[in-house]
Amino acid sequence: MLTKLIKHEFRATGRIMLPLYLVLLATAAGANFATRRMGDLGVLLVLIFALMILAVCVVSVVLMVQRFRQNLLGDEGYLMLTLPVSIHQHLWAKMMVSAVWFAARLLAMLAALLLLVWRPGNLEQISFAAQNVPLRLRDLRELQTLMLELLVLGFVACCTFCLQFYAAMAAGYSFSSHKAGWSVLFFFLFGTATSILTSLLEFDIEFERSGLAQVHQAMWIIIAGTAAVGAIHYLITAWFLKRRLNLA
Amino acid sequence: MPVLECTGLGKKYGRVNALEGLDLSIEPGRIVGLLGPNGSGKTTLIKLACGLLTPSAGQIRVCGQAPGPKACAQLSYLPERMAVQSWMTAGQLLDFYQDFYADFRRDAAQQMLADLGLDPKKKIQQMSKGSREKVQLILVMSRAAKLYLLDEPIGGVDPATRDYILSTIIGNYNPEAAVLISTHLIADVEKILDEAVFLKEGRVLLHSEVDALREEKGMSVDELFREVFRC
Amino acid sequence: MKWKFSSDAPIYTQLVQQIQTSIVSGALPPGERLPSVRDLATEAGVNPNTMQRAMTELERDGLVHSQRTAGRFVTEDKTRIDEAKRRCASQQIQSFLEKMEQLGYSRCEILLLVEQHMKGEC
Repeated sequence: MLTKLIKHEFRATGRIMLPLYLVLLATAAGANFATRRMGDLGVLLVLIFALMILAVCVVSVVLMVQRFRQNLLGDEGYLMLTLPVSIHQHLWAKMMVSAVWFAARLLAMLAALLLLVWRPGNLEQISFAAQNVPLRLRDLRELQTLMLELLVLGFVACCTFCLQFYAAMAAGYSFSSHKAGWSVLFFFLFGTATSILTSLLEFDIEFERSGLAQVHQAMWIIIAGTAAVGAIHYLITAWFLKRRLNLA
Repeated sequence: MPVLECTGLGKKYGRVNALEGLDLSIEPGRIVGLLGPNGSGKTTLIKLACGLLTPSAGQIRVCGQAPGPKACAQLSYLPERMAVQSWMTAGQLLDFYQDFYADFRRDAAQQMLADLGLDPKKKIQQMSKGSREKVQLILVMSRAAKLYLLDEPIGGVDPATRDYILSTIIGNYNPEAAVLISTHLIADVEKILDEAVFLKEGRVLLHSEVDALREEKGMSVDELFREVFRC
Repeated sequence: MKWKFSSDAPIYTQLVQQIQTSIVSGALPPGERLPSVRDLATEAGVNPNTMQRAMTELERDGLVHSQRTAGRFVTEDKTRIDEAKRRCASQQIQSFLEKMEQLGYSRCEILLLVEQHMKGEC
């Protein structure tokens, strides 16, 4: 059931995100061409490109919020929440798909930037640089672990980011009126509570090892901390959706 | 085993009692009318059965199960409002239902779409209000569920479609499944009902076989309703 | 078959009456196979359980009989049908008489009126 939910979620979000990424890449290509050939007009296109980057960022967050609000807490919730699917599966499907789109956004923006600054002859320069960078095997392994840790952190952070919105909306929409207003209030309430709690829990860690080992240790502590914040918001969201659901 | 069973069921919204001490049992093979004026708790009861609300008191069981994913697999729910995603086409919605419900009968759904002249390639948002409601009802009735919960299924459609919907409910009759229809258009549904449940202020005022009622009172359920709930 | 229901009597008795009328009038000839309960119910727009109940009633009266696999048939027993026809007729006459009496006619006057009416018509 989870895979079916995810499939459906991708179909619902993809119809907005994919065209947006395509437009972003197209403006990047356009800006590249314009800056090389068209002088003043090129500046305008670069400006449009910058706006597109901003739009992609805004849209991906708005879409994440809207999908939750409309699909689970709006009229569509009548259908979605009576599917033979648990609340947890709904939450994971929404989080995972959002995380994938956030990652895709990063890649799309990177690709767009490369496309923007690309000049003929760049390919040779890159292959020349790649051949001349000395890379030891041990460094490579360290790099891989670090990449893995960054990946985990990225995923956990995405989920926690989504859950902060979800928890606020799940709580706000349990009221019978001023649902949006309550949601905003809860968002700041939960946010303040989180920062107070984390500042209370702040403590000095005696690092036993040095160098890279220390970096790894720090990474895992950050991951665990983010995950803990996410988990609390997850529990709040699930509780409200299960026990205090109040569809308009 | 009853397909729907409520014991001492209560639901409060804040301080207001929407349902109070409600006992109701619906056996398989029955078509039951849930009748009552606005605000009598019809929708609340149906939402409780679907798990969209949590009871404040008492219990509700669907096929012996507490509301949740397992109960939802056995019940087919028609909400009073449009709940399908309007960017999808009718055909995509069939795929969606087929994905999530093991008991979905696709051929039946396609037949009904054709009967009502609805184009499976058309998006829901491009359809008229009436057509949207028809699509939603087709999806609900195309499942081979144990309990159908229909919240105002004939409220917004024209009389011809109303007849089609009622004959669909009859044609879909299954001795192992029960149908609960909430409505205030009693005259229209009366003929297809086995039982009538009158709700008043969150309580069951009357629960009886329709023919027994007509025999006993010498009037139709519609007339009885008007008498009982006279303002 | 055309179905019409009034609001004051149970649906199943009205079904019994209407099917009975079809049988005694010959609209449903003796030995005719009846549609399934579900189809009849859909056609009449009534609950299948109610239609089933009407069928059981008709079976008890001996106007229809079911054969396990082949379905349900109108009886071929002419005397049964005639009996039912006479029963229907006497019911109609009974209710006619009651209405006339409500209007204040005596039995003798009613008979006279009917005779005059028939003569006037022929």
